[in-house]
Order: sequence, then C-alpha cells, then structure tokens
Amino acid sequence: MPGGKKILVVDDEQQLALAVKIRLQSRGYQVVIASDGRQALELIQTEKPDLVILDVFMPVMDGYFCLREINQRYGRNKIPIIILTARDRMKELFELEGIEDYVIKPFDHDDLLIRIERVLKRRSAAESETSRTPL
Amino acid sequence: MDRPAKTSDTPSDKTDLLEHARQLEERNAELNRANQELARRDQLRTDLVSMVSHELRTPLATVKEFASILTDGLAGQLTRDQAEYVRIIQKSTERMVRLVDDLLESAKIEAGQVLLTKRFVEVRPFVEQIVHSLNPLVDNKQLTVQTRLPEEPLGIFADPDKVTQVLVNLLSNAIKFTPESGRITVSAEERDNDVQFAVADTGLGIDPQDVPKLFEKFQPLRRGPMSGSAKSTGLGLSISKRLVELHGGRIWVESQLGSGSTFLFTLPKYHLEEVFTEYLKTGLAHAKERQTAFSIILVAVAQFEELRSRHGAEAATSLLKETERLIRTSVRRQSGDIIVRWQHGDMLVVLVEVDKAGCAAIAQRFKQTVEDRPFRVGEAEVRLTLLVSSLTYPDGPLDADEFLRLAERTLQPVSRPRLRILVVDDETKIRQFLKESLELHGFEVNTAASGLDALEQLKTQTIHLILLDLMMPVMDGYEVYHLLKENPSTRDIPVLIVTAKGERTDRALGMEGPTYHYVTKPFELEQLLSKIQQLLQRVPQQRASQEE
Repeated sequence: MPGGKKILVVDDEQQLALAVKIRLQSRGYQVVIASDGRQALELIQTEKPDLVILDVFMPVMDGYFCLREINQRYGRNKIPIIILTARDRMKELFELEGIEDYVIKPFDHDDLLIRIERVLKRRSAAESETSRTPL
Repeated sequence: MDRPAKTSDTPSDKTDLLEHARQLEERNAELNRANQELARRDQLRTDLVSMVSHELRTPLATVKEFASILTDGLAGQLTRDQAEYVRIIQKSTERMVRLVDDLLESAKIEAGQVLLTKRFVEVRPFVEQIVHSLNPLVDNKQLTVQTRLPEEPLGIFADPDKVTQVLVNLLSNAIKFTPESGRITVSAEERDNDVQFAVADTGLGIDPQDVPKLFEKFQPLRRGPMSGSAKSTGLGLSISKRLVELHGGRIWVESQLGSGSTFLFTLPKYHLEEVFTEYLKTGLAHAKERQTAFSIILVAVAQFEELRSRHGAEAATSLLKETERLIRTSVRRQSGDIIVRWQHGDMLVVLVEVDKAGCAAIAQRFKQTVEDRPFRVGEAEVRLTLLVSSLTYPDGPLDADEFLRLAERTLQPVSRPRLRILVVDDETKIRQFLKESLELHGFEVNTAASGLDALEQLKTQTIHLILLDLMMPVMDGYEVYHLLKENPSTRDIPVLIVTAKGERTDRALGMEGPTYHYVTKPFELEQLLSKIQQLLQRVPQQRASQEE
C-alpha cells in the first residue's frame, strides 16, 4: 500500500506527465507535476515529495543539473530519484550522482509502478531502522 | 582554348608529364574530399537517425500510456467498439516502438557503438529457452516447432543478448511467414570450427530475385499477406547480419519459391572443456604474476540425473539455474566467475585472490545456502544435496603444473559419464522401445537379444543396471539371473526384472533380498523410470568411492 506517498513528476512533455499522474493516482499516490528543473526545485521545497521522477532533457534547467542541485541542497541520496528518459546510455553518468533507478521511455507502466514501490519500501525500511537505533 | 586538346594520350614532353601528374593529384584530392564528405554525411545521417528516434520515444510513450489508461478503465468503462479501437492504437504504437528501437539499434551498429559482451554459451539450453519463449506466438497459429540440437555439450563464445536477438528475429519471421499448421525447424550443429544454426520454415519461400537484397536495410519482407502489426520494419535482417558478422560469422538464406525458406548463420564454436582449461590457466597465470592465491570450487547437484529423469530436462535445468543464482549471490563481491555446464548439472566457480581458508568458507556457504532451501518442482518440494570440492594455488608443495593437472583431474568426475543400462529382451520391438525411451532420459543403452549375448557384453562393458526379461528362448531370465549373481564381477549390478502380468517371479528366483526388483508388463514408462532411479541411487556413491 502506497499510503498516500507524494510523488513529484518532472517532465517538459506535459501530456506524458499527466499520463503518469493519472496512473499513479489510480494507485493511491499523491502527485505533483513540474515541467522543468527549476520548478522541480521549488516544488521539492514546498511539497516535500517522498520520491521524484525526473526527465533529463528539459528547457530552463535539465534533469542532470537539477539532480546535482538537489544533491547540493539536501545531500546525496536524501530524496529518492528515478530517472525517466528516452536516452538509454546515460545511466552510469546519473548513477555517479546517486539515483535509485533509471527507466527508459517508452516504459511499461506496471514495471514503473513496481520500481516506485520497491524504492519507497526500501526507504521506509531504512527509516524505521535508523529511528530504532539511538544516536 | 589556345591549345588543341590532345587526342593521343602519350605525354610527349616533360611539361605534359608534369601536367598529367598535377591533374592526377588534383583528382585524387577531389576523391578524398568527396570521400570525407560522404563519411561526414554518413555520420550526419546516423546522428540524425539516432536523434529522431530518441525524439520519437517521448511522444510514443505518451500515446502508449494514454491508450493503456483507457483500456485499464482509469477513465471510465469503454464500450466494446471503443475498447477495440484503443487496442488498434496500442498495436500500432507497439509497432512504432519496435521500429524506433530497430532504427536506433541500426544506427548504433553503423556508428560502431555496439560492443559485444562475449560469454560462453551452451547451445542446447540456450536455443531451447528461446524457442520456449516464443511458444505463445507459435500456439496462436498452431505451428509445429521442432528442434534438432546437439546432445553433447557444444558451446559458442558469443554475446548471448545479441545472438538471442538474431534467433528471435529469424524465428519470428518464420512464424510470420508460415501458414497455419505449418512447421518450423530450429537446428544447430557443429561444422568444423563453427556452430551452424538454421531456422527452416514451410512458408511461401522467397523469390530468388529478392534474395540478394534481403539482408539490406529497409527491405521489408514481402512474403504473402499479413495484418498491421505483423509487418516487419525492414531492419531486422540487416541488424541480424551485422550482429552475426560482428561475431565473425556469416548469415545466408536458402529458399525456393513455394517450398519454404531456411535461414542459416554460423558462429565460432567454443568447447566447454577448453573454457575450463582456459579459465584455469588465466587464473593461475594471474595468481603467479601477482603472487596471490587462486582457488576453484566445483559444485555439483547430487540429484541432478535423478531430477532430470524424474521431472524432465527443463525442470532440472531450471533448478540448476536457481542454484546458480543462489551461488552467485553468495559469491557476492568476491572477484569470481561461474561457468555452468547445464548438461551435467555442475558448475565451476573460479575465485581470484582467494586463499585456502577463504575458499573453504565460501564453499561451506554455498552448501548451506543451497541445502537449507527447499526447491519447488511442479507440486513437489525437493531439497538438494550439493557436492563441493575445491582446490587452491598455492597450497603447500603444490606447484602450478601440479595444480593444473589436479584441477583437470578433479573436473573429470564432474562431467560424469552417463549411466549405462543393458536391456535384455528377445523381442526386437521392446528392445527398441526401451532403448529409445531410456536414451531420451539421459541413459546410455546397450541391448542384448539373448541371455548369452548379455553375458558376453558384460565381460567387456561397464554396465550400471540390467533390465532383464524373464521369458526368453534358449536361456531364460531365471538362468541369466542366477549366472549374474554367481559371478563376483557382475554380482553387484542391480537387476530389474521385467515380467508379464500374472507370471510368478518369486518361485524360481527365491528370496534374493534387496537386489531383487521387478516390474510387470505392460508397464508405464514413468513407473519403470522411478524403479530404475531407486535402484541406481546407491550407484553414484559406489562410483565416487572408486574414483577417489
């Protein structure tokens, strides 16, 4: 059960973002949409999403720059990121910056949902782990 | 024009010669420029194809997603017609996605961006799995797919993903172009230094004048009518050709209009035994050079043969895969590699920079991980026993040569010889039937038409089990049985007696204890196999102790 987790979908292709939103909402997620990296940074601050789905080639601020900015502001791997792109050969580059997953468009929505669920599950398991260990 | 054009080409003086050379040079330079321009245009075109393909992916994803949002009813229930139309959109989108993928792949190959990740691939299970994965397509058209694959382990050294791509391409073409109830034959065989693969269909065949163009780009196969999504992109065969050539093989077609087509390709073969030795040698050389340790672990599933004859090759192989996966996870980040011999149910784990203690610990972990875990085979749950042996260099006085010799000897029992059964029956049909069925289940089979013939064969052959018919002319089963039990060299061979229903067996044989077993005719093959397995269970241990 997603338990109303909030997901930020960043894509300049607004129709695709909408499709992803409808799909995610049907599974009980809350969804916010941004159409470029700069908007994404703003929404991360105000909406505090549990996970970000990030496109790469976007106007204003692209996904790579956005990811590096997120890392700088919040720390590496603090916010789980799934890259969703049409390019199949940038995985290593993004992995160096710390991402949870890399999905290629066109994607299989069931597969995307499974990956999202897996990341969120892993995160909540890690959180309950750290909250149990006294600092 | 102040100089008349020369009609004779012989340069008569020095000036002419120089002029001639200058012209040649100029023409050369021109050609070079043209070549460069062509290369540049080629590059541009490849870049363009790649860019356009990527650009297409995003809108395609959008179409695909909205279509599935509709079919999944996320925007309300669809009428029957609406659902049908959306499915047409989905089908066409799928085709576009395939086209884009093919275009990208093609552009990558042309730009020299496709790198092969070669591994050792054992032909039989590899091809079987691909054929199996296409079953749904085959069933749709009620086609028969036959495979003719080598019984003996035969390996290729190739990129399994790329070879899969080629085979899937050829197979799906064959499926597309073969009319309903047709037949497709997939085969692989050894040819000198190559393995030759062939996909033959009983389709319409190809017009000879189309054959030369077949492997060129954008030559959609036109072999009879077909519906929208079945249309090919016209890239599949050209991609296949490039992929085969990248491996150093070749691809061609033999076809006659009206009598089907056979697509053939070759890949360089690689013997698993060579692979083992090569791995050992490389590992050893590495260890010597860096003055570090090198270990190998041999892992075999003890019940592999039994599982295979009881549940079939497929189930046994999938158990082995599961075992391999477990072992792979438990090697973790250790620098190691695993070679699996599916045919025999064993694996060689090569561990670089692991010493004797480390090796023992890892071997122990393998055993525990696998043995602690129940595996499912159909309805049943089985627990596996893992036979593990290991060898480390350096290890005391063991030098490199000794290590290699020992390792190669250790490998022998792993490629365990198949068990040999002697079928003694005077009826030709029964002998043939048993030979064929038992061979199918992985046994070697000798046949004897009479008791005397059987005793003669036993003098020279190692036989692991005897299937003995009681009712035979000249020397009957009872007599043969007693002769076998009296002779110390044949006394321990388990005998399974085959009797007709209603025959009294205990009468003449007496109470012989645990080595007396029988099945009654007519029997089910299943029942016979399970009896054979029961009898053979003790045999591997006997053999193992002989070999040590």
